[in-house]
Amino acid sequence: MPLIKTYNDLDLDFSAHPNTGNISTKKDADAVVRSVRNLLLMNHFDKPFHPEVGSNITRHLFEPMTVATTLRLETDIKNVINNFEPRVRLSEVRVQAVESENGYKISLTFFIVNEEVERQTVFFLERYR
Amino acid sequence: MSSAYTTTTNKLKITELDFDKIKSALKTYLSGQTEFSGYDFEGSGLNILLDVLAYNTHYNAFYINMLASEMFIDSATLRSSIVSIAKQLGYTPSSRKGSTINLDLTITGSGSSVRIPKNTKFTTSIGSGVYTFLTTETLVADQDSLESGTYTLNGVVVREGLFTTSTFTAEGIENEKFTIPSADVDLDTLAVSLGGETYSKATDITQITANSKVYFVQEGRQEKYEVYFGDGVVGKAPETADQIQLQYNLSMLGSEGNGAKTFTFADSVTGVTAITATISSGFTRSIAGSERETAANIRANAPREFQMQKRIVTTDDYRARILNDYGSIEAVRVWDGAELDPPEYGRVYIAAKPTSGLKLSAAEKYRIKRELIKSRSMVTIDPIIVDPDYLTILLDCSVTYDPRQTTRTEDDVKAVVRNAIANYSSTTLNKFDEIYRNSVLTRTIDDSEISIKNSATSLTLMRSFAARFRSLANYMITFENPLHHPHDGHQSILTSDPFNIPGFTNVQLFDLDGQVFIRRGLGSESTGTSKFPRANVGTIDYANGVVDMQLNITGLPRSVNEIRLYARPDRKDLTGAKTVITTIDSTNSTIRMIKETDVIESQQVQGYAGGY
Repeated sequence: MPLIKTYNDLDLDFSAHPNTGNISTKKDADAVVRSVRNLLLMNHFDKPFHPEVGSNITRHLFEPMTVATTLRLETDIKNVINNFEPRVRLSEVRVQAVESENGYKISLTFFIVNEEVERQTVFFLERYR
Repeated sequence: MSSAYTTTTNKLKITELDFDKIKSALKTYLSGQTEFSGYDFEGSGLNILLDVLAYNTHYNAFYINMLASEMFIDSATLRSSIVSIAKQLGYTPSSRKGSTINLDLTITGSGSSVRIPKNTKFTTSIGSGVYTFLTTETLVADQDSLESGTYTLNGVVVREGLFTTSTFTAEGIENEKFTIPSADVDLDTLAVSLGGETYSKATDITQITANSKVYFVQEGRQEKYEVYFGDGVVGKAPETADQIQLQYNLSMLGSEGNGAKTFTFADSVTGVTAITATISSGFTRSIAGSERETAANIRANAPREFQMQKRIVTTDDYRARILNDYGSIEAVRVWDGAELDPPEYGRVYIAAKPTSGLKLSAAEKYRIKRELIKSRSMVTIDPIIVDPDYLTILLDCSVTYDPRQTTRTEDDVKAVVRNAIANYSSTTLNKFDEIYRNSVLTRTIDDSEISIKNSATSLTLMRSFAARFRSLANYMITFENPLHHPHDGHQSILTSDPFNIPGFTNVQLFDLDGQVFIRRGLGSESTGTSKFPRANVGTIDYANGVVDMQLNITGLPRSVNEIRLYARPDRKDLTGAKTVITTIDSTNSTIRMIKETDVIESQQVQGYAGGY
């Protein structure tokens, strides 16, 4: 299903294209999903002069693994996407505490605006230290 | 990729300095291409790179702006930058200075003479602390009379501070500097020796040869002074392993050392059993202590000093020199004697207001004339230091406040208002040629406490003059402002302190339609019965605020030879004059506090009564 508007973005992994050797890019849905991931992993004050941008969800990783923490994670994720990613219409945010691995499995279900296909991205949030 | 840029918006704006504007300009630039379309979303990779780029650009712009600012004395903010630029003008910022005073010493001891070495300690109490004053030179006193065991030294100069010595070993490297380790050094007391030989401070570079034993001093890093020597061409250079000794006083008090009055001998001197110190004639307290020059003062004084070239010629030179070198002066006015009527050629008049009090003591005037002016002014010029004239404003304030909006008592609120008035006087007035603006003071009073609702102020002007006793003398007093006289027959607006005239005591002045009269005041005694013993002793010019009188004053009830003349001004904004300092006497001003609740109750009662 083609997008009405296309999105192109730099891949911040800065990997080289195997054929051309140019820096690789992210296109369309991949670009949007990468943007969502960037927003989720961005803490307040990461962006110069704009402390309001970012989810600050990493702070929850140092809190007790309770239902309340899970709910707060959900709220923060919804807020950051609704506020700063206008290309995405969220359907569902599921945060599942995985006690055995000391982390949270986060599952996002969303539509990209002007696209009919529902997309899902899953990632695991855990402490580095 | 260049083919992707299809519009004319790819001209990047480079004039922006603010982060958001730089980023916005970059976005506008990127809007002209189709290669990357996700640049405008906060989470996109390109947007994050734009953040880095905009931040870096903003950072560099800020840095360059600061760098450019610090290069000029007008815009520099760092003290080190201002000092560095001042250095190019040959200007060394003045250090903290210890307060000084002359003491008369009565010494008891043994021997035909006693020797009081330099840096002999005397102590004084200021506040809760005990501080040290040191003699500035070694003195020898002969016995007052044979076998008397007493010795007298008059006019011994002592200076506040702690004696300190710093020793260095020269490494013989180029541009070697020796830093005095404390920023509180009193540079006037600095004595430098190199290899056991005394070096003097370099003052005139044209007189310095390769063998001149001179040192230079400048302000270095962390506001500390650096001593350095010649390079073997201009001044003798130190050699490797030469010992350098710096002896100096650290001023612990600076300007706070001014005002000390009692001194106690606190040292042990060979042959001396006791010393009684009294203040020398002409001195009333320790004077001339000052703080180190601030960055703002350096900014103002360095160009002036450069223009003066270490000489005092113009009236501005006198002003700059006194303000710069004499710490306890708040305002100075200088005028040429040739401008007077009749002219006094060869004289320069200086009126100076001290920081504390209204008049300089005789010792302070002498010190300014001898130390600051005569060494640099033209030989034929005779500087004369006079006391400034004061135009004092007495206020009558009615202040309405709401006691429900403050935890302060009425007296506390009144004290806050009085402080606000005193603060306005010291910061805005207290200088020559200043203007009193009533609305500004009213606003200051209204803003001084949250519960104050409004205030109303009426003014009285006061000038004082010294009486010339037992002769008919002319007195011309000017209030510098028009006086209130709306029509003939209006009540008197002039009054004075009581004074005595032949046959009458405690009489006062008053005015009527341009004429000045004398009437008997409270407690007046006389040989006659007239209520108005003297008619028409002078005139009053309401438009120009000038009172011209002929009086034969025989005495004053007060111990001070000063008669105060009071008048009501015609306007509430008062202009100053070049030779007059306008000030507010906040202590003797009247402040009436009115409670808002009283006003409301009064209005309610009136409204209720009006209903019937």
